[in-house]
Amino acid sequence: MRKNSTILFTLLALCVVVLFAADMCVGSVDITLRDIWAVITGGECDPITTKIIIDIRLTKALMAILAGAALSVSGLQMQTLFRNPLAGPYVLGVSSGASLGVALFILGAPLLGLGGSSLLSSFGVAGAAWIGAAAVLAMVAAVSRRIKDIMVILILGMMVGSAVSAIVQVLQYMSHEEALKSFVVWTMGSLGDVSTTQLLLIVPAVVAGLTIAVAVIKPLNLLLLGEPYARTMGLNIGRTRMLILLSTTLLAGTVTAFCGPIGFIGLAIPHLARTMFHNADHRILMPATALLGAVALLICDIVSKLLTLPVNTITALLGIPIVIWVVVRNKNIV
Amino acid sequence: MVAVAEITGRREIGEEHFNSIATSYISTSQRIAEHTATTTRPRVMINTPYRDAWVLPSENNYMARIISDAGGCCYTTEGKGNTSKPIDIEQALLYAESADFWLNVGSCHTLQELTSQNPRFAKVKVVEDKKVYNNTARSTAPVGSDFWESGVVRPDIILKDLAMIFHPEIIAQEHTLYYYTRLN
Repeated sequence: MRKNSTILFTLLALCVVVLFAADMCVGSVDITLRDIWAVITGGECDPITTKIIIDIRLTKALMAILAGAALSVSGLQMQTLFRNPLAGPYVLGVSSGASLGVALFILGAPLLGLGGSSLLSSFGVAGAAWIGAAAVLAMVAAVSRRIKDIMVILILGMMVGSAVSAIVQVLQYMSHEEALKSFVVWTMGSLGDVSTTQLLLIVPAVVAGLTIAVAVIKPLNLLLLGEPYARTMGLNIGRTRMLILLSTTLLAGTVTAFCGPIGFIGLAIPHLARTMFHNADHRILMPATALLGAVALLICDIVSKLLTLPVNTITALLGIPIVIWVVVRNKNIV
Repeated sequence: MVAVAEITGRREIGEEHFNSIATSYISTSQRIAEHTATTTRPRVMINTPYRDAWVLPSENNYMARIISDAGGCCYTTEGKGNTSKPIDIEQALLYAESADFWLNVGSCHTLQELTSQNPRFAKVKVVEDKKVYNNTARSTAPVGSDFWESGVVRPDIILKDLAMIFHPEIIAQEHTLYYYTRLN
């Protein structure tokens, strides 16, 4: 079994490298491999080609790896915490909170006559989304300190999400065409709107989130046995919950803030990892999920570039048949 | 315009207005055509990106046609009729690098707003040369744009605005920008 896992991990790592290279080569502008290599190794190339390779392709490919790993790992944590195979990174309202932040920024500010405010524009869409996501998660986390039953928190997260969606719909209903279009496009998700400067903010946040995720591998394994049993094994449930929520805020919150909500990956990839590795141990599942998430989002990014479609539509169109196939083939995936 | 005039029993006045707009449009476009027969048409980029996609008009789109009549050469996509299609941000960057003018930049009123929303396009030549114009000179309460309201029935004024931007030497004596404004 251990030998099989090693082979699978090697294959997945190889896939990440190959797909990363493929993602760098695909784009609407024809750029030769020699030029790509010259830019990456610091050689000479014309400025516009350098700009396309560094500012667009490299940033996008790195973002695909980071977002894929981050969303998948936070999905895995949510599925184990809530003991629910339908849980994903957005189950606690991260996506709805981010949408509210962006809706207030894009739709609400012009309605209040604050559209041109320099203070507001300095926050940017990403800042507004991050604040929205963090605010909703902080609220859920504060309530969860008083509630023992984890299912109540799940319901609470979904209710907060619905309430926030209603507010967003009111803002959409009252907004004018240009702002509405910007908001709808944001909800479609995109890996290509991230600048190299923003990437320098995203990397530490995602690395911190993944570090916390690795730190809770043992508690996650104990939670598989149920909270009462985990408690008898000496697990501090409250502290574990807080760490998992913090990790989700850093992972899903950051990715959603900069890329918009990206569906399917966080829900489906942990199931694919379980099927592929035939294992429920988080010491195996955590890295497997991260690598599979990176592979999946790199594939989706390549397809979205070839078809000039939003990445969110590709993740759903490519992902849903896979999930249905996995569910039909393996009835006991959790 | 003529249909509304007919309904209100003023068909003759309606036809007179319509014909004066049509005559004005045709005479301006003929003057521009004569001028551009011996000069180069500037390359024009329109719209702004929505995240990593940029929507451009097709060759027969009304905006591409009016830019062409005004003596410009609009970057377009393939497609029939009055359609628009998204292009990849890489292609858009390539076009923007070689554009002489950038028009219709959404809700941006200053170059700073434009470059903070689209940092990748901050260093393109057209922005550095400050040759960016938006159709937001006239607004209607609360958040409407007069370009998309009265502009629909005054293509002759839009044509003169665009000619003023691309070839001021032809029209500067008789026209000042009406719907368009230069971003600073």
